[in-house]
Amino acid sequence: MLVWPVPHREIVKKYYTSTSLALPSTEKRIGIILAAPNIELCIPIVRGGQMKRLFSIVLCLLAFGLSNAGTLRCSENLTIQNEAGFIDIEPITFYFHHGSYFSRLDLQSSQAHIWYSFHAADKRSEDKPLFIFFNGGPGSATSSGLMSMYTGRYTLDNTIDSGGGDHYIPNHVPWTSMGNLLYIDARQAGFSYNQMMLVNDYNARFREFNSQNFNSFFDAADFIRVVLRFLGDHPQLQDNPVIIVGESYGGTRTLTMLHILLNYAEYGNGREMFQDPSLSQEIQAHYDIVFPQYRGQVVPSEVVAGQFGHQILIQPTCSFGYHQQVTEDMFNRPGSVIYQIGEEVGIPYDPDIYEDPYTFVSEVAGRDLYIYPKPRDWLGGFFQNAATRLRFTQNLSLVTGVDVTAIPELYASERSNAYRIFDTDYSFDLMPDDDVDPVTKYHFLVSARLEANSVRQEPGDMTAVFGTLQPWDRYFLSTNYHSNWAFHVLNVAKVRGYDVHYYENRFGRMFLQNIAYVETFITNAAYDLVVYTAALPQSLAKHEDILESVQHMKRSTDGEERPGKIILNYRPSAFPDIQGLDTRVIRFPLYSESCHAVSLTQPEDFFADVSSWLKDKGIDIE
Amino acid sequence: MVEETMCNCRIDIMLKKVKTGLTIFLVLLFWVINPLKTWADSESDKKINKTKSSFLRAEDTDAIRSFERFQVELYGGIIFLNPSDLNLFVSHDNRMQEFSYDSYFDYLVATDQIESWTKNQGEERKEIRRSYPIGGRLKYYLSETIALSLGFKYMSSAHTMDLDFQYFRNELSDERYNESIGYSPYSLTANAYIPTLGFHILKKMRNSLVLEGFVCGGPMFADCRYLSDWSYEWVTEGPDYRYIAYSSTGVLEEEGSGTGIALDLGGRLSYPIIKRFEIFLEASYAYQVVKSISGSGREERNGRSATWDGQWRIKSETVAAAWGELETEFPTSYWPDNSEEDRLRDFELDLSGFQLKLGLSFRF
Repeated sequence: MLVWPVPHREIVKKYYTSTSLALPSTEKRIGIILAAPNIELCIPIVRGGQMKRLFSIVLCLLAFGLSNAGTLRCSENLTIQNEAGFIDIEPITFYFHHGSYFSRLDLQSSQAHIWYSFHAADKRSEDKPLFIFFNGGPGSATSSGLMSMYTGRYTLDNTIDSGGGDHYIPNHVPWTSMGNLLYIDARQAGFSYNQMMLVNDYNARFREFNSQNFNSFFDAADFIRVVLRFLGDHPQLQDNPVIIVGESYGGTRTLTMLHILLNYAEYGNGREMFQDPSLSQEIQAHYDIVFPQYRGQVVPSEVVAGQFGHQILIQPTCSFGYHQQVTEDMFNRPGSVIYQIGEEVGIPYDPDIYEDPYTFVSEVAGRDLYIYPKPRDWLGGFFQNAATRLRFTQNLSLVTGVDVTAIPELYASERSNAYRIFDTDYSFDLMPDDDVDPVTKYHFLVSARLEANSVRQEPGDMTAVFGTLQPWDRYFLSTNYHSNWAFHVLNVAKVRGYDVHYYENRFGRMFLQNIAYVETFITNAAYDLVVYTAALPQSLAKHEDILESVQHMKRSTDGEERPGKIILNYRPSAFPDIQGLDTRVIRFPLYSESCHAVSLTQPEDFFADVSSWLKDKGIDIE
Repeated sequence: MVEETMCNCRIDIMLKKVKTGLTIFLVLLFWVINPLKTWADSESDKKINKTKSSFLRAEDTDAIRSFERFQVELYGGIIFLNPSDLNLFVSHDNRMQEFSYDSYFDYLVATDQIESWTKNQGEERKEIRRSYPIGGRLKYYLSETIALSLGFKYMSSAHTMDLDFQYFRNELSDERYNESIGYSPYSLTANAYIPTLGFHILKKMRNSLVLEGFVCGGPMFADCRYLSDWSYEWVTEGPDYRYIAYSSTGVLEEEGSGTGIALDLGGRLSYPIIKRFEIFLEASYAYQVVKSISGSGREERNGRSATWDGQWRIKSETVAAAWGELETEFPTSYWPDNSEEDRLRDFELDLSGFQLKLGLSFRF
């Protein structure tokens, strides 16, 4: 046992390690670090006598028992441990432009506290890649998504059809066996929260849900900042390969992150539409350390790909404008999956009668768009279950492998300026006409589902443990529809004509440019209608100025159990700055029984395919 | 504090330039006036000798020798000009706005992204097309037909406007977006201070009219300024709701000054109204150009501000968006890192033009 004095606050601020137990306070206390093979215990020595001290020790030992369950696999690792907490992002000044100062839209974000949960690799953490996980939405939490769905050491079980799906169980295919895992909740999603002055002013909060905090570029910039700051705080991992795992809208986030990371100078020198000079500098500072031979110079994309050169995309939105066009064409062809669903439920599908295929499947056939053989809201119920469970500190500690009661920013007393939503209830004080149906009044801002989600009384024990929050604050939001709405509708950058919405073809071009440097794995889930990946190859082929042809190879050529590849043949002039870009191959395995959340419905297959693919690419995951 | 210091510096520089100009001017005057006076006196003597020999009496000779040699003139007028580089601010802003709103909304309608759009606007941005010079001269008659002058002309051109543009977008739903851009003020200004030295040839006509031709020239001390104090607001409206979804404000100001050359070439008619007093009408072409302008700039956007100094130059830009491209150029003194990129040419403040002046003179 090592005993040395440590200012309590420093421990808490630096790493919320797996077993440190400390009460958040501004007071400095002397803590005792109990060092065991893979754990640290911080015992606060509380002023007030032996009884309190004894009580603290008992508490710590209890916590040790609890959290040790989540860190058993860390037993070979002395230095890198599980962590969870918040990474701060200061207000950022950035802008969009069309090539002129006079077409510039200057924006400044709010102070953000971005939630992360780090799960150290089972062994040799410092040599293993770092997997960055996030879900999509935009506005959806990763905590109740990928973190709860067969990637970490604990998972919500997937036996929802047989009465399960409502508690966490050990995951038999943990990705910690392949590397280190970093889960990040997007700004205002999951546990992440923003802070602002005038937080009790409805209109001030309302205006926060706009481009300055929510657009596809700044969203990607947030994630880059979190990743770089996390790496900066962990020198052992700083130059390890980073593998980005994005689901759904997370595909757009991934491609935008990679485009910024690969072409970072262009995002600070006025050439790209999105300009975030401080981000460009922060990336340069990181590269100065990781690629010292290029210190102070612009690091070439092919060199950057040495660290940020792999992406795993689960049912992603890559070129979603084209994707939706192709999907609609495919759905409306006689004999399509929509017609099949119509036959199954005995209501023939007719594109002339039904507004769109999605309405038909969801409203008429009563099927889940994310997994069409299942009834409506099947997957949503799973996310909801995860959200409900994570609002209990015990569950959250179990899943994160960290005693979350040691995280100061979770305490109500620390977040008096925090906000998560602008609308706290069904008050229509600002509405002049009381006779109009409230839902109609608010249809432009919020859906009934949004309201239900935002104003719901939070279950769980967080209020009891951390205190009562302000009405506009929430401990956890599985999907923040206010921020989702800001991406889609209440977005001044979009209104002013900047390509910030992920339906824009700009994102498809960025994706295809990234592929020149980035090895790519995309899931092809057979039952997902929301991101109908069967339409992906054709949607990429729509970029005729970049690609000569796209082939979807469905048969196995290398003996894969779940075959599938997309072969992209580039035009010689596609990207004049990129030499030797002719053919690129994307791994595109078919998951024949899978929903949108592939890791949930075919966890073993997905795990096996990813590990095999990474080994093929020379990544050290053993 | 910093701005005050900069302002004082500019005044000092301006005063120094005025002093230098005046000194040169006086030296020139002395250098020119002496030989001219000698020549004019000899011409006058010749005339006297000629008349003496024929029929002129002695008292007539005295009258010629004792005519009033000085004349003071005050005038005001109008000059029709087109400082095209300065006016680029206006044409650029108009084109940018048309591109960013009108063309964009046309594109949204054409691609079925919105239902329709309309526009309301009050006053338009105005270019500088005229100025109103005022000034005075002190003339010294070398003879009845030849005079020299010392003068000073001040001219100012300013458009200060409050502008309001409103765009209404009817979305595909029953919502309407109202985007408004206001400028209070939107201002474009040019001033010139011109001390002159002039040479005048006069001819007496019938009915006491005096016809005069002149050329006047001197240094021109000029300054110009562009100020755009703008606000933007996006309001989303439905059948029974109205929200300000986004608003922002900003200021862009560019100030510059420089020294150039002014030259007036023209003629005038004078008519005596009472003893020693005349009214006159002048018509001339004024060449008034400053080839180099430099000064400071200021930007404020959403509470953040920046200032800079530099030489005014014309910048070219290509604005590219989904709905098209716009090639445009505008003056600015903002050249970070002295970048040569996009630098089209130096800014020229050209206040030349045809001018008309009406004035009153007093001879003594």
